[in-house]
Amino acid sequence: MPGPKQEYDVIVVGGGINGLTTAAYLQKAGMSVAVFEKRDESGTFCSTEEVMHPGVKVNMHASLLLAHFGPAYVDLELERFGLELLRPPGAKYAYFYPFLDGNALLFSGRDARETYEAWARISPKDAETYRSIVNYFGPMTPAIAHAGLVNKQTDESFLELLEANANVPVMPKDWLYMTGVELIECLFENEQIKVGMLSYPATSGLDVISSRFTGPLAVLHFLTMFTVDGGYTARGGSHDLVHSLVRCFVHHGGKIYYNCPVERVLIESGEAKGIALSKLASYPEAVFKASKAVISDLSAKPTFLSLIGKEHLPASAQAALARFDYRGSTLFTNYYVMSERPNFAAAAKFPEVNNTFVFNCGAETMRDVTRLIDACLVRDVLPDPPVVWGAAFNYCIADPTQAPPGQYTILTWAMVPYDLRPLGGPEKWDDIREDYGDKVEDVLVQYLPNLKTSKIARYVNTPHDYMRRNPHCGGNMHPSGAVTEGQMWSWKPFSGCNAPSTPIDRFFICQSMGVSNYTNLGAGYVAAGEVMSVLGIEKPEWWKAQCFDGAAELIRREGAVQRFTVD
Amino acid sequence: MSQEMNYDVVVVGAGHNGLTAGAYLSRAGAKVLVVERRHETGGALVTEEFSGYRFNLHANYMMMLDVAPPFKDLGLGEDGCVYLRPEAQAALLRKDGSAITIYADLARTVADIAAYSEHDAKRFEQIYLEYKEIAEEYLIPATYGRPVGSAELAANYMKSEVGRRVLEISEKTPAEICESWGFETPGLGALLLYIICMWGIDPEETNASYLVPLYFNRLLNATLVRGGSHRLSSTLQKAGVIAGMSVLESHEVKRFIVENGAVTGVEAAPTGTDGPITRIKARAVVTSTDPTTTFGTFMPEADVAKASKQCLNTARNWEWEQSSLFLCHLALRRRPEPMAFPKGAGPKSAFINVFGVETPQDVVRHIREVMQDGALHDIGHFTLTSDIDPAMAPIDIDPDGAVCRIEACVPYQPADGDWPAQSRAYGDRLIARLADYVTGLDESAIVRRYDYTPKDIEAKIPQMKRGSFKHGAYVMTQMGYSRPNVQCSSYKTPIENLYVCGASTFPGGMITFGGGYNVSKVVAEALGLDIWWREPDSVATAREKGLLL
Repeated sequence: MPGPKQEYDVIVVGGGINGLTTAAYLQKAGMSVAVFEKRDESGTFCSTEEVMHPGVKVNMHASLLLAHFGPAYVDLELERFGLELLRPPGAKYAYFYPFLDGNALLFSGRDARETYEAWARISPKDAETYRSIVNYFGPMTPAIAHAGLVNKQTDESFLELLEANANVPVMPKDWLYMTGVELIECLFENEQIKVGMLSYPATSGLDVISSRFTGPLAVLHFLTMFTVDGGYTARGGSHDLVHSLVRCFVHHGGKIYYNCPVERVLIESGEAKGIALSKLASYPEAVFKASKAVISDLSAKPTFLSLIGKEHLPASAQAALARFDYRGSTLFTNYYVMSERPNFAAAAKFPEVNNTFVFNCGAETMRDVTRLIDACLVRDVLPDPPVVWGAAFNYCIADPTQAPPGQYTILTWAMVPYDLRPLGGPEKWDDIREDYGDKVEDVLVQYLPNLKTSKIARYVNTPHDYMRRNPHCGGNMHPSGAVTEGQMWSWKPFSGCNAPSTPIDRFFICQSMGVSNYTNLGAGYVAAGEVMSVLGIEKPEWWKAQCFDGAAELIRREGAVQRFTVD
Repeated sequence: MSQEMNYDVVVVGAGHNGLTAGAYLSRAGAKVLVVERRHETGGALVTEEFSGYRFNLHANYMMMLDVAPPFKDLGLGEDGCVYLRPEAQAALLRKDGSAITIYADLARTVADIAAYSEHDAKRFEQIYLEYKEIAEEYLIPATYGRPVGSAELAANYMKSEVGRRVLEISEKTPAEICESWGFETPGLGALLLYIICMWGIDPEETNASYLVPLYFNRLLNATLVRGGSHRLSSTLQKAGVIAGMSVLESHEVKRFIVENGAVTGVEAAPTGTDGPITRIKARAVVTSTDPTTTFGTFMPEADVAKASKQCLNTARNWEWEQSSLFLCHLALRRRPEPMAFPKGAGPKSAFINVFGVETPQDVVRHIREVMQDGALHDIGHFTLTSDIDPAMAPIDIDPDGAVCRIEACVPYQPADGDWPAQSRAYGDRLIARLADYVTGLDESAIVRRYDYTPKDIEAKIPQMKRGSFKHGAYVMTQMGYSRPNVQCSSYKTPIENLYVCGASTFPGGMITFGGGYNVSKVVAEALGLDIWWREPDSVATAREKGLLL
């Protein structure tokens, strides 16, 4: 069998959504790019598989698709390559948080006024606070998101952000240095609004109790997610996003090698020159050269400690990597297929919840919040009862193709620790998989009673199952590592890395930087831009989309209203 | 989304045949769209991951990759689709802990059989070489050429030595052929008969006997796709996408657009819904669907009847297979040890490990009772996929992990009750039975289990009605030139612009690429496209000898 071509301009290690985004930009810009993927499929954490019953699509991980936030959606013409983002038809809200008393906190995906009005049903005073905050930040939202998502993050840009927002009206003094809980306690008086407000940012693994800066992140997170455009699913499931990226890349001449784990990056005189495959690869131990750049889509430790090797790194980087934290919180998945459309108890008072794609539930009070974060991030024990704080998704109301006609799939993520040290280690997850799945279900049926009567089947995935699937994630479901005060913005993955550049010349990363990665393709976009500027190549004419161009287009097509402020 | 699209060719179904046609025709310069009802292309080539363990949920044993023209023409090997040919191809495990093993290497097999019987070793070598010749000279090239009508075929057979031998073989049942081999060791005949008949060839009928030399030859040259069977369809699709092919997934074709009796496109909607409808106009429609769908669902009866009574009858009278498959996929944290394979150098297991039968009569009885009585037997074969491709298990986290696939020939409708109720218990029975042949396979080793029944086959791939994984029975009226019927046997149908290419066309089911490859030429000729590929030498040679027309 003839072997493959062995020299490219650029080699990307790892075919996740960010690796593919970087690869597609550079290939489309005229370079020859090869992606090397260990698995037989791209998009490890953005996959859809039929692991329950035929016809039931299971989104194995990524569920909230935000590809329309980043420039890649437009620049890479993802719609042309088959991506079809869907939300429930006519949905007024993007996210809700139900309570046992029948209340529900609702958040619009696009219109600050809708959110304001929904909050006013729970607490008029807190609704006014929301109005003040959103009226201040609203007009700045695109710019802030741009800084957070698609600009290279630097120490300077962080300071600018701090200075620009140091004296915001309504915000307490020093709000930028507060934890999520501190800030939310200062701002709001209603317990349900506090819990609902914290529930969403905690989804990205933020330690809202003890990490500084999580307060502003919590607020900004909310403002961007829920005034720009909430999340979508894709026709046929999350993996559709991967298909569109792969097709774009392949269409422009890019090359993907599957079943090709990379053993190491070849380094000569401090410069990355190529890669060598492992002996388990389809082309065992083959060497591929990269004349311009090597880019890693893996998280920090495997990237620097395995692919590069610490002998090539300065002592400060070695020390930082030894400390690199994956722990954070991680997620425990219950996946259901139901014979009826999910009907929430809160729908009695708030019918709109049944037509809303995303929710969280299970923590009723701030005490529950403390209990949850303390169990997951401090004591490494299982929250009992569990709390569905990782987000939950009601897919089929947006995309009926994800289950056979008349059936509905729903995913819940409960926030849990990975290590299970008190029980003896992460292998113990196999023993408690179904039992803990039952406990999550007990919580869920309180909010979603018809789950009990219409459940067809359940599929449970533990954090250890995800670790088997994707060992580079280090046990964290947020594959770029935990988001803590020492691991965010320009000091992620470590201070002095200057990501997406690294201490190794011509070696870049397109993961493990910024705030958190999600599915906005921002990290991949930033990495592609960095490679171009380091190589001194001018960006082609098509490389021009702005943050949210895709979102604006989707909203326009629907004829919907987008309002960043409340008049 | 635009609701009306225009293409040169629209292909219905992105199984390996549809993708093959899509890739060949795109490369020939046509603007091609492939419509697929699932969220994923590949059809039977489906690989999914359970807790980091990768299961080939349906197709697993590749018979033709080393000889199929698309593999070379489309450069699948250079593009990352790598196949592995296991050292031990097939073994019959016996209750006493021994095994009869057939290796990829003939000399080794002969030496191994000689330990049981010198006579059998000699016979095996003779038969092996004879069938190899028949397969290579005639049956393989015939797969990649147009089928020949039965009268002409019979006349042609008489013209050559190979033809006469095929004719002779095709007049006996597989069980009679097995008897004619005359092995002294019952297990050897049982193993060979099992692998020939395990996919629904009736050992007591002559319908498909001409396939015996092909299956014998091909199943002892079987390969596994590295990284999972889905890699094969992904690479096929990539070949098409590079040439400009588009794919529309999660959309099912509702009906053909028919104008003045000609098919001028298809109407599709998101799978399982009634709309919105997308109209896709095309100069040619190539469908890989079965005839009940092609002529029964996609077109009004009156339109079909006007063009061809025969097609209408085919849709009404199509016969599904009499048996189907049950698969039990296991993710195991510890690798089970087949007792017949000693530790140390050499293979740790065979690709196909048959258990539960000891004699050819056992095989015949097993299949007869499955087909006629709806019986469920503790008979089947298993593959330790991770023995061949270690990366199918998450070895970074579970270094001793293994992927095991147990497969059994079963009825669509078991006598003792429906599949959903039978599934778990039958899987348990097969696992329990394996305790006679392997050690270390128990509940505590199982991380995940996935049972796949004939009902699931039908739900996953609607063309496989009643679990009919070859899209229709191998009965005389549906074989060779008559598949799906005489009027459609050259892939062109009596309905203008409509072509057929799935497993319900010649040469039939399994991953042969025959339908997709052959229809490409027919469509390319009809549309005046550039036929950029060259017919394989073996086909030209077979034609020179008069074996193909």
